[in-house]
Amino acid sequence: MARRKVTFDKVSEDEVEPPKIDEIPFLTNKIMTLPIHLPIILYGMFYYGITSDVQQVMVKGLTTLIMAQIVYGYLIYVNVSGDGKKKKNKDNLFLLLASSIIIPIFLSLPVFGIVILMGAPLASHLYETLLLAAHVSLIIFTPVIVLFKLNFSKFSIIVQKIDLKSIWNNSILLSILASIIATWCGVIPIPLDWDRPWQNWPITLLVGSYLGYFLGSFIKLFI
Amino acid sequence: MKVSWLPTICLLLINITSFLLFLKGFFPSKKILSGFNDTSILSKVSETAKFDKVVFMVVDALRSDFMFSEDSGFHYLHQLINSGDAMPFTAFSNPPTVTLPRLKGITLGTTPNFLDAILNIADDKDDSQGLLNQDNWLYQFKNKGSSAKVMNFYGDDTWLKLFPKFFDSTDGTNSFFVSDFYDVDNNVTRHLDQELLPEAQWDGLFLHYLGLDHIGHKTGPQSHFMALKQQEMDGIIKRIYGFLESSKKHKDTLFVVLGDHGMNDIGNHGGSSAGETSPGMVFISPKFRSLKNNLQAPLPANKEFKYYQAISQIDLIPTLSLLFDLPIPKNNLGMIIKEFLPLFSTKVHHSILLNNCRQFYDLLKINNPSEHKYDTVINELRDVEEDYSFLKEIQEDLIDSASNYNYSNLHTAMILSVLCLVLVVAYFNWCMYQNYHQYKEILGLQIGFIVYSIHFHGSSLIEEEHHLWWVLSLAFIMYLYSQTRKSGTSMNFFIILVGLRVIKSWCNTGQKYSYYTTSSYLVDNPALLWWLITLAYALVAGLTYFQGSIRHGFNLDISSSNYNPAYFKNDFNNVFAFVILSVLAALSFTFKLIQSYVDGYPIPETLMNFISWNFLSWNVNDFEDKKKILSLLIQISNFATFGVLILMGLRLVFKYVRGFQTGNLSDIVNLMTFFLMNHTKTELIPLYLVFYLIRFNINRILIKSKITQIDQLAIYMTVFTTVISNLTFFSMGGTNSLATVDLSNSYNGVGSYHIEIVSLLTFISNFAGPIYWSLSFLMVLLEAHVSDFNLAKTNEDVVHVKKLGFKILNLRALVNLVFFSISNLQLVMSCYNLRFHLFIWTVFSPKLLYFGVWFILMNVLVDLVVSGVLIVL
Repeated sequence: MARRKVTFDKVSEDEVEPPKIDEIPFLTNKIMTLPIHLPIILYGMFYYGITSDVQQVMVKGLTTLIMAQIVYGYLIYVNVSGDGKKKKNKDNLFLLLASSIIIPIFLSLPVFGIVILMGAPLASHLYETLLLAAHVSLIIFTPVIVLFKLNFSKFSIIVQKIDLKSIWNNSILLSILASIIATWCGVIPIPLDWDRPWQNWPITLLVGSYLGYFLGSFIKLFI
Repeated sequence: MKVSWLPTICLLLINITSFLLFLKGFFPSKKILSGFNDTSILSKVSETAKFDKVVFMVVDALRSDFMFSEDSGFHYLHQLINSGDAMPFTAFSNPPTVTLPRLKGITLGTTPNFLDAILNIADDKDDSQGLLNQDNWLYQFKNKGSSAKVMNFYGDDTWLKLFPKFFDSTDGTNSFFVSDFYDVDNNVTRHLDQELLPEAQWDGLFLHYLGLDHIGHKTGPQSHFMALKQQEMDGIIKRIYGFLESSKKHKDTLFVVLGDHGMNDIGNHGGSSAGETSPGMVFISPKFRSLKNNLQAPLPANKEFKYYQAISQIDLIPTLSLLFDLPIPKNNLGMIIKEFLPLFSTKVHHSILLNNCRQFYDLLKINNPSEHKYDTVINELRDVEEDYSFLKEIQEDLIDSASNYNYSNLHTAMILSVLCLVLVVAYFNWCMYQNYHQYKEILGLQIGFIVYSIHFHGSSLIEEEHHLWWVLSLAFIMYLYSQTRKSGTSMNFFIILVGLRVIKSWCNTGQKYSYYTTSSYLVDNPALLWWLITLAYALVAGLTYFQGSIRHGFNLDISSSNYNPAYFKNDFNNVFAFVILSVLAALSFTFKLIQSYVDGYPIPETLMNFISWNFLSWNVNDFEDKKKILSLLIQISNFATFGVLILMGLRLVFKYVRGFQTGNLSDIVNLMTFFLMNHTKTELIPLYLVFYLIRFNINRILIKSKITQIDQLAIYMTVFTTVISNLTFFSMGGTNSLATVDLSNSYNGVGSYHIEIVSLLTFISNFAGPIYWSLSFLMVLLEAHVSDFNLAKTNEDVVHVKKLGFKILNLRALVNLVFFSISNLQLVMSCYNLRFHLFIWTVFSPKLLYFGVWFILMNVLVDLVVSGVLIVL
């Protein structure tokens, strides 16, 4: 005996169609959203002598990065696909940009934990590692938050389904992946016996995360 | 999956052959001058020898700061330096800084070749070392004058191997018994009672003290044993010099005290760090007061270990020749120490040095016959300055050309390894392409191997290889996660990741950085350390009890005919197994505890009572009676080892006589873990807790992942075993330098020096971690459900499928063969390419040897032979 289907007027939560992979918001104008501020800040940190005073210059760089990421977040917001102008007017832009900075700052603690798990030194350089985590966290999380407009459920569903191809197709996701990988690869020069000041922890990782993100976006200009 | 043994074994043999052939050609032999020089230094000038007798006291590993710094215990020696009786030097000793090549250095004056270092580790029963046919200052000294001089030797028996039947009265002690700090030295000192009598008839008294080196190996340069030993040595200097000064017969006796090499910050030696290459050297005689050196002692400690004038250790040889008026040994590469020239009138300095120059020139001629640029220079030397610059130039030339490789061997070996690599890769890919459903993984794997093997080309990459394994471990774990994350394994992966991080933090390794590590924290907190060790032994005992069916084997009420592995009833009757395993664990724990006590580890208060209880019940009433304690230690160690062996035997009886099949392999591996733990350094034992956690979780992941292809599982586990073995090896303090070969567990249960047993134990104690993982590989693959405590499903385990075990083994051998043939070729090319590199003897050659151990002992012996035997059992 077949069971009779019962339907209710109210659409249950489960039946909301989950977002598809091709619904990841993307950027409409890649030139406007080129994160040119990252190499500039990086250069600035070297200019102000990160090799001699790692901690202070990293703090300085972090404050600059926060300011620049707000602007960058706004540029992403303006150039993101999907919603028409109407819908955009409904968004609380101030809240979005503020949380795109504040959430990454809180997230830098879990990032710190991950960096330690991945092999950062435990017995020393803890403050430097924390600063590195803050930098990385801001670089990778701010654009994601703006891109998904704090829609966490959408984000988590997409993360579960994501594959390399759809990352490759999305300029921001590609930049984030590139940034993470480049940060990790940043450890490579440290043990070499060149004994240069820039081989100090965590300068090379910082360079990796900044340049990785920038190059990820830069490549997408052409491909 | 079709793989057969024949090609694997053949290719493996080709690979081994090419590697061994390369080793044979790579470690070169030097050209030396035969015969003895017969023109003594002062024969052409109107001067006479300053001394005619010698006391030559070598203190093994006597680093310069031990003698001269403010922390030094040599207070009497400092007085002698202040009064001008002693001429102190810091004497650079050429690497490899191990005893045998150093002894060659301080008798022949030669710079050693690398082969000497290996022979030093395995030098018993090898009489090829005899130096009687090479020109050396001992021979020259003995044969000076009308009748042969009387020379006595007491101490390290390496001397007796170098100079068989040369000394008149001897008593050798073996340098490899490192856990003994006292007897080795008392054995030497007791002879002084007769030798320091007025009627004693000797012209040369040679002493070689080993205790200080043993203390360094065991407890490092900072331990309180070290200070006591320095004071002991100082006392001996006082005793000897006091006798020489008071005796009329010994007015012309020179007293030399020197270290053959130094030690690094953790007390080992073999490499080329400043500490290892900076032993001290002192010449003592009242005659030196006339030189008015006005030196002060002690000096503030410095990190470069530079005190007083820096000389080369081999400069000792021509200097002694000068002071005794002997011919300079023909193969000598040392220069007469400038500070001693003022003992002779200024007019003759130049003609003295000319002897040295001529001898160098002759040596250069035989090594480099086509070199003519010095032909005219030697006849135009005018003054002392010119002599010294001439000597320096030739010395550099000769040291550079000291390596003559056997190129035909090298080239054959390289061609063979290219051939082997091509065959291996072709065969492997052919096999996999046909049979393996995810061929992409195989390609990725080989790319990973190639990326790894590139590191052989950089000296700092070899020194810091552990970073590479850390990255590779993470990369593999992440890949595995990406493959299995849909099976709900995130938590297991997180635990593995944390476990790996803990392993990485355990010890310092590499050359560049030194952190405050988990193990140093534990040594500083002995209570925590011993809690963890207790836990580790309890864990292994518990696993042995619960995992397999050993507990039911002892229970005669249970028969195998109606046996259900999940059978927990009647557990009370298993008490016998419980007691036996507890005793084994307690015995192992006691052994480790007493060993740590003897080695001078800090021991928590409560356990001290346990130690005294042990001592008293074994009738050791004097707790300072090291001899008795050491023999007790040997007994306990043997008890623990035999306990493991007997239980393994019983387990087999249970299998074959009583029919308990379930968990046989797991039981034996668990029992072997006891043995491995007993041969691991104390502060590393808690690592086994982490190891177990990782093994359990990787096993869980593979079960959960529902991978049904056994070959895929086998390849995953092979790669996992490779990465984690290497990570573990480096995290347990291993490096690619000879300096960190740990000998502290090589003598467990060994009363006297047996080369075979000691070498085996050295291998086991240094590779305990990798061996653990190699055995775990079998457990995880063959008895996955036993390891997972899922007793209901043990019948599904692979071990019950006939011949599958060997197929898995074959697959592992094949994957490892690809890894080792790629690495072999890269390493061989790198060593060939960089054979004139500055670090060839300190970085690349040791790497070659370590690679040999990984390849032949780990891969062939443990991964293939031992594993094969375990599967057959």
